Amino acid sequence: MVERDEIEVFVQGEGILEIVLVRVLRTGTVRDIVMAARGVGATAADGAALFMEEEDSVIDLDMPIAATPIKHRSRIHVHRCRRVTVTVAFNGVQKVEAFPSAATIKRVKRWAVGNRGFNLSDVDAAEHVLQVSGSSDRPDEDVHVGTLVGHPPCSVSFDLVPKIRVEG
Amino acid sequence: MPMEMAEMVLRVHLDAGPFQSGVDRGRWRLIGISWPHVLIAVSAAERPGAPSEYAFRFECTGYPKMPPTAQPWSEAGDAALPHDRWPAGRHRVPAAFNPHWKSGEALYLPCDRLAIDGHDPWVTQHPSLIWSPQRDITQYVHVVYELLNSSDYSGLRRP
Repeated sequence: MVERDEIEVFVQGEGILEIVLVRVLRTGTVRDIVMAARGVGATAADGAALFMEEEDSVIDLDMPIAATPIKHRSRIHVHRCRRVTVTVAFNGVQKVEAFPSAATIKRVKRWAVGNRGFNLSDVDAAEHVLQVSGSSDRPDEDVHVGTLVGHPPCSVSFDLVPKIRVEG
Repeated sequence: MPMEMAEMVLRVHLDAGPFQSGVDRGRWRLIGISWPHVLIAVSAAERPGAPSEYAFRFECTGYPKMPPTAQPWSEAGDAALPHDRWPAGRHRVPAAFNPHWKSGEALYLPCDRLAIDGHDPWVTQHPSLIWSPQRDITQYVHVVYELLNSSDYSGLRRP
């Protein structure tokens, strides 16, 4: 149960493998959120900056939470990389674009299947997914692309692969 | 009676970031827990004559070391969902939601405890759909959510 003087915040970022939900006092500072994330196992590095989801404007860690856009159940990102270089391969062709570290995989995929990417039809786009190159990892659409990279290199490569029917 | 460790772990996971992130997005919601069963409603894309969500009863014995097994469930009737109320589709959806496989007691998915039994090739064919004890029930719920919100999903088997 969340107390009246508390808020919950979803945190992702460098060294944070799964989305973390932390609880902090409304009257605290942004730094309290980072410390709370560390308290539940996140390993956000010293020098990391804090961003709202999809944004690349840094929020000062010493600001009161009440003076920021952070509300109950906001989604934030903690990372040393402000932007991430994304490479996507499909049918032997590669496309490259830079995204905020706090950009979601949903946004990256929208670019990859769109007319600045591989220009797939809506049906084909829905039946393809981003898979981290050299792995079987298919991050959920809520995952921030920065969680997949270190600092350096602040870059990640994906393959755009079809979703396959389970049979056999 | 003291709570089993498996139930304690599950309850922690249901309150944690991955599951709550989906709740916050309106993708799924917890209906209730009656150990070893947990009832979760998963939202579905809008289709004519079809519901906006389907309930699934997950049987979680041995969680999280063992994968759960899940079946479509009638929340109102507190019983297995009639076969004509199951989700339908063209390729991936009817393969996963097949009421004629094991009498509809499980979903035909690599992350399901009953389905993975005897399907060793799935480990290499569908590695992203294999249950990981290091993660939580959200991985299974997300697979179901993806299917119910795919272009493959067409609504009810018999609307």
